[in-house]
Amino acid sequence: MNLDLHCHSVSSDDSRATVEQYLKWIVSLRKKGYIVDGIVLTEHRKFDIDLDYTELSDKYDVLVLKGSELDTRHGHFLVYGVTKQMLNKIDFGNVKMDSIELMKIAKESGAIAFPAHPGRFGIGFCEYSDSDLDFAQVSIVEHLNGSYRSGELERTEKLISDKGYAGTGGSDAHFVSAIATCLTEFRTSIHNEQDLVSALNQKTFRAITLEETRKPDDVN
Amino acid sequence: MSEDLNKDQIDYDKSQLNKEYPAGSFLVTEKEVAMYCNSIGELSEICHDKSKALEAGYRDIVAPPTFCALFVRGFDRPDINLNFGKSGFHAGEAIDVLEPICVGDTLDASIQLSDVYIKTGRSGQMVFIVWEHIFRNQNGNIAAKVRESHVRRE
Repeated sequence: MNLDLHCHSVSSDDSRATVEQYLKWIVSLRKKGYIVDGIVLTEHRKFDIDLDYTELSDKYDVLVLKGSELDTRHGHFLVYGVTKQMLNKIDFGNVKMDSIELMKIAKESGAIAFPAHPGRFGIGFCEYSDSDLDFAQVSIVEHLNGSYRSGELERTEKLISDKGYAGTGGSDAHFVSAIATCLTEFRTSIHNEQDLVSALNQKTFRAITLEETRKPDDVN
Repeated sequence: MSEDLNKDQIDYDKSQLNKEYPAGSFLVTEKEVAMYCNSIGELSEICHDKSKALEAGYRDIVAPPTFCALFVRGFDRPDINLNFGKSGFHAGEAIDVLEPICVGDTLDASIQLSDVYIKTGRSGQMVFIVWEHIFRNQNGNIAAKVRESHVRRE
């Protein structure tokens, strides 16, 4: 199944897209033959524990899960499977948190954290990956990101090649039409955040573009 | 200078947070609404023709939803003495329209500092200053909220 693992709704300070607008757009993508099964909302520096998208998810038949994108002193990190235990231990608004500590606490809490858009200049993990710090916990990074600028994907792919990381895909959408431009294809079914964490830990996925999801019959 | 800043370390006058200041009273006139409609290309009949607006159930000609943003430009904001960055710019505006605004309405505006936060982008750390402008109509109801963000960067 194909999930966009990285997108932002109006809950993030820099996005103007509502979750429902994203889901409507996905419904229209499906009509054009693309296979998009769900999205994971990764709001900046927060986790909306009380927000429930079940009704919207049912209405549009699109899986909607929640994660987070955190600023750390080693670049931005995506977090999936956030628990109350994790929220109690980490200040999500701390833009200089230690990513090594973040990954450790995430793992202990049944969640997972790994670098977002590592090739991005200034805030990508590539800036730190060759430092003296021990990043042995990193085994996954975001590979395809819909907001990359020139040269950033190349940096990411070199990192993945050099370190042997697995790679996910996400649109990093901040506006409606950007949703699902990059996705992660999972070999297993995912119904909730726990399934997602499990599939990520098993590394049963690959990063794909929206075009790759198109049904063969629909390709002109 | 600001390399290790965290939100609670941003140097500004925190006593200003959520403090509401009156920002003026505005009468919504037909002339202003017409000028605004012309400037943004608003063609809806309820924004131009009083009889059509009344027919549609409004009390008078309806101002376009973004009308309140007009007033925000002229507001004086208290100095929060932010000590960060070398340059700044307007970072965005969001408008919540909660009630129709019609010709003849009187809007009482207030302004408050609703948030100051920090984030990191490609160009380094940035501090965002968010001002919320609240417009109450003659019935005391909040007709619109306009949130403006300004950013300071290293």
